[in-house]
Amino acid sequence: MKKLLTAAALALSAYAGAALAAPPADTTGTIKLYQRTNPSIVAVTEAGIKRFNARYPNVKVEVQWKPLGEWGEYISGFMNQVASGDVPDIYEVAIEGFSSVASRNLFLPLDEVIARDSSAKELLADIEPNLLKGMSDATGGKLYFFPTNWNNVVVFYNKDMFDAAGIAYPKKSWTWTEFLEAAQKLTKRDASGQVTQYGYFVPGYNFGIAPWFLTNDTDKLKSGWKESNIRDPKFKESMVFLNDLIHKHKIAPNFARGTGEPQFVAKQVAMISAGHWPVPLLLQNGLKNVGVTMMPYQRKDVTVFGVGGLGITKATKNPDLTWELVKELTGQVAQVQYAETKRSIPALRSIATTGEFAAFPDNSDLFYGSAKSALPIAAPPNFSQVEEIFMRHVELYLTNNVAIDKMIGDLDAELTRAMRRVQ
Amino acid sequence: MTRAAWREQIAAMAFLTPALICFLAFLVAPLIATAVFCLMEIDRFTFGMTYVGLDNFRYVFEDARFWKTFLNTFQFIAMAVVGNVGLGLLLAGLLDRALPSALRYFLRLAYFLPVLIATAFVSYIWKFLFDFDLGAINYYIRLLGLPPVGWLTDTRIAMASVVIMDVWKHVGFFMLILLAALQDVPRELREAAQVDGAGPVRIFVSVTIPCIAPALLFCVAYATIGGLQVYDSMRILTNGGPGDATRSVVMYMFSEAFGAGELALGAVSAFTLLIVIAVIVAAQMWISRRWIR
Repeated sequence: MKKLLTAAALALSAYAGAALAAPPADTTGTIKLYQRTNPSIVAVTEAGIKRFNARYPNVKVEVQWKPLGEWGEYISGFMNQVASGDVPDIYEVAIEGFSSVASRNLFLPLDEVIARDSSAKELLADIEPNLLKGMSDATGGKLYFFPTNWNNVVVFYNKDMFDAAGIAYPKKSWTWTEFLEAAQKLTKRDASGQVTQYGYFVPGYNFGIAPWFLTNDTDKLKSGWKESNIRDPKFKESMVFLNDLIHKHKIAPNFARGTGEPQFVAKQVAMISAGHWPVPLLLQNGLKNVGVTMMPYQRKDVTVFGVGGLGITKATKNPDLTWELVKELTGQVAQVQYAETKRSIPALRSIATTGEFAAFPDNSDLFYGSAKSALPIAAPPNFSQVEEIFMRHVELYLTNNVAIDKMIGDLDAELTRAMRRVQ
Repeated sequence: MTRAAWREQIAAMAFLTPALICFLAFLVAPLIATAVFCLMEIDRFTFGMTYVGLDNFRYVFEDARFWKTFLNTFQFIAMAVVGNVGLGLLLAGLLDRALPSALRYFLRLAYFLPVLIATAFVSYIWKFLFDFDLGAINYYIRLLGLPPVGWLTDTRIAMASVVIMDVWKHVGFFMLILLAALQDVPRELREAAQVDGAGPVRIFVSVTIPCIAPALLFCVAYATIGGLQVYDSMRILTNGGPGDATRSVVMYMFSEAFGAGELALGAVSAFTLLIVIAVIVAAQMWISRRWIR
């Protein structure tokens, strides 16, 4: 098996760096696409395949739809399939899974392919360079995945609640202190002292909580994503601040895994941290008086981003044809469809900053506007393991089951052990 | 050996072969594969293996979390076996008396109904009931003027919450088994004991328990093996949390093998669990031979 894959990789490595030309319309063949499922991805992919088949009617596209429970399981599923010798032509994954395949010489580097394809170059020119840099950095400096859509984390706020509390809407750039003051004014209690409305929901998920560290100029891993950074005093400062929001200031409900969207829709909380994905739910529930602003900062005015993309494996029998499908699934029309679903931000600036997509919520320009300074989510090769370790300890501390210094010590020890294994 | 005896031998082998093939393919082969994986470093992409001896065992055994999950599993077993078998016996005892038949049928059905519902579904319902802020249980606790309980967020209580749900779901099964056993206890034995002056407690200890001992042992063994394999309820209800407070060894095994992508470490956990289960089953068989007639 090992020899077979190596031989296939060597035989096909000739394609790397070569220009890919669009094959004739009567080309025959089969392309296998390994794709995660969510309502927007399914719709966009199926429409893209239809357009592709209108150009190449004799090409069969087989989609292997994979449910996305946790990234670790999704990435493991792909690895298992590759190990069994059934290597798909196209693999769709987000930045969380980029570095796990980067060093494997399994994918065609797309930089040179794009450089010789005018339509792809045109698409790329419309994408924020910082997003592309984040993608390349995750895979050792080369671009192996062509971007489809992305998400960041901003603060969604209920304008009616701000009006009722008699406070101004948050500025686009605001500090932790200003955020806390607003959250305190937005928290309401009844006569018995029982909270009836919380100011904020502390994100119970890795991507959502990440900006609370980045805005304090720290992160769980050191730059390069190879070593634990938990001992950084700024990391502790962020953790204590989040714990205080729940237990000292009592402006947030008890920590729970989740995004806080149901609580925001039910008007139990005034602010949540999320990407673009709550927008369809807000519109469905008629919650239209909503604005977004940047995450509050302590030392660094930034947020986090994650981006999805399509990669072409070297096992593909017809790279030219596969590249045409990738372009169809990531191009202008597909991007418009991603915008219509409103679940994520299209990679193309021209689509993400115009029309209906930019009309709601208030300050929607911040979504693409943050792309310039946003930092990629820490995504080492053992991403899912790091995520699991990190969230487990965060949960223990934010539910007051363990003291901060013990949590820091335990988390650092476990993370260091896990990172040593990958090194 | 005569020709007829040979024929009989061949016929017997022919009948045994399909079962033997299944046994080898689905039990022995995976067992050997797991044992081999334990000693290898496995590349997930090429499935290439490098012999590393006992390194994987060393790595897993040095992990305090591994032993913590074992401890959790046994804590769960102890609580769940006592809860399921104890409460099952109590309910069976209450139903094993002169009740109107309609009421008896209704109660039997009511206790057994949760057994028929999928664990995942039950777990989601209990997750809602146990919720700190919006849960129905804490709602009534607050109405009584008491502080809300962190059913799923307090490390000291979370395991008990999982056990409460497990007992609610499974107690009906054990109740039915034990009720059938109780109804098989000869009435003459109890009457004879009564004539000899034994009270209800003495009759229960000296007559009823020995008579239903095989059923009791089956229930304990069944609940123990089920407890050793507990996964879905913990995964949905608490996802092993808070921290590792409710993480079972099977959850640890799954997250190592399929979450972290460390197949060999998952194999080590599985192999260790297999040995522990084998020891427990052997102990139970010895007890049953020694004490149960």
